[in-house]
Amino acid sequence: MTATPLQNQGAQGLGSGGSNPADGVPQVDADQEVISKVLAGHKDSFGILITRYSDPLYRHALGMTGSPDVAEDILQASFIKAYQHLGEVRGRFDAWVFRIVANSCKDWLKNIRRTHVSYDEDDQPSTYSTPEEEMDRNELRTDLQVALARLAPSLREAFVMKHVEGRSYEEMALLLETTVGALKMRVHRAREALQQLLEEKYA
Amino acid sequence: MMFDDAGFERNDKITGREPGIRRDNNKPAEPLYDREVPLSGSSTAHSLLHDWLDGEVDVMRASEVEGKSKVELWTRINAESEMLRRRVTPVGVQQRIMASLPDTPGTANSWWKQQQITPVAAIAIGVAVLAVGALIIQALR
Repeated sequence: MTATPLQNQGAQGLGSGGSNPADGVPQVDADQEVISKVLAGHKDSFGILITRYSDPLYRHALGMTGSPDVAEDILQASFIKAYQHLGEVRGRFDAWVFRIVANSCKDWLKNIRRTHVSYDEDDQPSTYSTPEEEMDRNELRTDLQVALARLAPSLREAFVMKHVEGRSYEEMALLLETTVGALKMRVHRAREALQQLLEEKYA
Repeated sequence: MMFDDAGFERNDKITGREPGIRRDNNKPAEPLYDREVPLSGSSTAHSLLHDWLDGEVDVMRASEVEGKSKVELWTRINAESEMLRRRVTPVGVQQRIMASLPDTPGTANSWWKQQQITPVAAIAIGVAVLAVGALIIQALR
């Protein structure tokens, strides 16, 4: 089984297993099979790809933009773009669609710089045990987002992929088409910058 | 202030020197990605925090060398990141995407592929149009 770095895996992180296609066909081949069906006129089959990859792509967009509404819009626009250019997919669909989302996020960041964003704008349930704990963590969450917003997009992207999405450097290198060494450098610089911004208050 | 990829500001603080003058000011700045060089596999005290965050050393060792407060800060940041990792696409978004798809997917973006005309055929058609045009002009004279 060849799992892709982008499969929907609930709370288990990415790239560490994942849902197997029912027929046991490697995931990359399974994606190609679905693409062939869609191109042959079975529009509904595209829903399989959306279901398979929407969660990790949504998390990436959310981590990059900090706004659930913007993340939804980017996800929708990216899947529509992928559908409109489906015949041009060469290689892995998951890496291809990831780059569409990643580029959209960076374009959005270029146009809009935010100093304050909140993850509590949508209806996801709270999982904190006490109101005090929720307040503490909300404060850290807000401060972390403000600090993230001050990073260059490439550093923010590397931090989000490593820490929020839980990817390995190898997966990141595959998706971003760069080297593991360059990505380690970006992640390290992002951590150092975040630490500098947050340690006065929290350390 | 925005933190960039190159860390110039930090280096200036460390060395206390004025930033050097660029030799060719007309040349556009190269992309930040191109300035990056891979890290070597050093295990200095400075990188132990990163080693711990990358899962290469245990928390006790990182705490000893880097200090408890830094490790605690990153433990809290990691806990927050874990929460974000559990986020899923909100209900209804997938259906909304499906509903907004056009009727047919894109099969190719090149116009000759869309028209099923090869570049050679397109040139031949162009030459034929020119020839017909020339014939018409000659007939009119």
